[in-house]
Amino acid sequence: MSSIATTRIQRELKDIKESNNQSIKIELKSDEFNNLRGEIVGPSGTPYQDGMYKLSIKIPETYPFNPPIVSFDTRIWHPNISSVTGAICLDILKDQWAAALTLRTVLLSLQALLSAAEPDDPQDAVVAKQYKDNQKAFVKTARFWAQYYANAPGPRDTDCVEKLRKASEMGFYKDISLQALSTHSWDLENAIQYLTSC
Amino acid sequence: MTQSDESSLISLTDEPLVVDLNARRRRRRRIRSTTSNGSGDVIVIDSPAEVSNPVAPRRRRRQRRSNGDSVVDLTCNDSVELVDLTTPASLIRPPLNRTQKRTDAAGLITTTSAPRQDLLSHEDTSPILKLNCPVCLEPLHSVIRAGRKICSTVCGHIFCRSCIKQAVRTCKKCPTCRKKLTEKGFHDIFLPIS
Ligand SMILES: [Zn+2]
Ligand SMILES: [Zn+2]
Repeated sequence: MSSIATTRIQRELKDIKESNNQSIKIELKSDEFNNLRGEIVGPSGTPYQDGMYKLSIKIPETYPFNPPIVSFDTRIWHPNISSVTGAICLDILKDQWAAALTLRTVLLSLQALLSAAEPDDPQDAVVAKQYKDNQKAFVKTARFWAQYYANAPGPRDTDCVEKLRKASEMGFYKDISLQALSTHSWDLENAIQYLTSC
Repeated sequence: MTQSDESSLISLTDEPLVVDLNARRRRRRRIRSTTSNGSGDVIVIDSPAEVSNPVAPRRRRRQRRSNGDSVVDLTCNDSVELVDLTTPASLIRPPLNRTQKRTDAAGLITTTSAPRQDLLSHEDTSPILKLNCPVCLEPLHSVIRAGRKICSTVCGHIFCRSCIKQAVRTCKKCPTCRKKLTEKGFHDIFLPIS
């Protein structure tokens, strides 16, 4: 790893510690400076509120002249994040990167992305379609995922709990059942049909 | 220099900011003899040979600005969306006395860090030098102390020379505002410090 990338990551980690922002965290995964773990708290007033989202951060050799490679380790239901792989669609992680941006600004931008989705520039077409066509189902699903995967507090939607139980009782894995129910906006029959067909 | 001139010698953002008064007093002492500033948002940094000439008339400054040398405009933050220039909080305090959060140009809430004691220890360090090179994040005063050069781009953004050189070579654009830059798009600056 180039020396500029290493010293910059070291300084960034120090700055983040000193900034005292409880809602973002970055730490080394090992002794290597090219592999980091991030964590952001879901912003309040969103379905992601108080969820803990783990991120994988890979630092390229050419950092900071090229952007870090960031993806969600914690599963999330959001138009600009793949519900399957955690890949993120965010301009500053691609062509709008600038070397003066930092991991801290990236994590703050991701929090902003959770607050304001951009469904017209989607990463996950299924989620984006639901976001546009059925806002109510979207909020319900995003909130349930936040509780299920990101440990967001609060009582879970009983309809979701019940349908997820029914699907998994039929022998389907919980993660796959949840994905199918979410994709079909919690229509149990369609979700089961989809699950049995694949 | 009049009172109003002094009030905004250095303005890093367009927002109203509360500036540490002690720091400003120190800065005022330092800057009065070497720079002149009519409009309040431009820092004219003369090369060491010109230090004895304290007044750069407005007209002359415009001329120089169009030449693109010697004028460093730190106010250009229009296209910088997520860059928090306030990090050395010892230089600038957000409004409302040390409130930790402020809204930056993009409407994002960012948190300014607490004053960094390690950088304050050097009594004579000009507030400008407490800023970091935005690429390597090294404080400018330690860049200078190490005998390295500081550069400004034609778009007015400041970096240590090794960083802007590498940025131009690898990305061909300004690391702060993404403006296209060539090898000729930056030049050394000479700060009036002893
Ligand atoms: Zn640098
Ligand atoms: Zn620039």
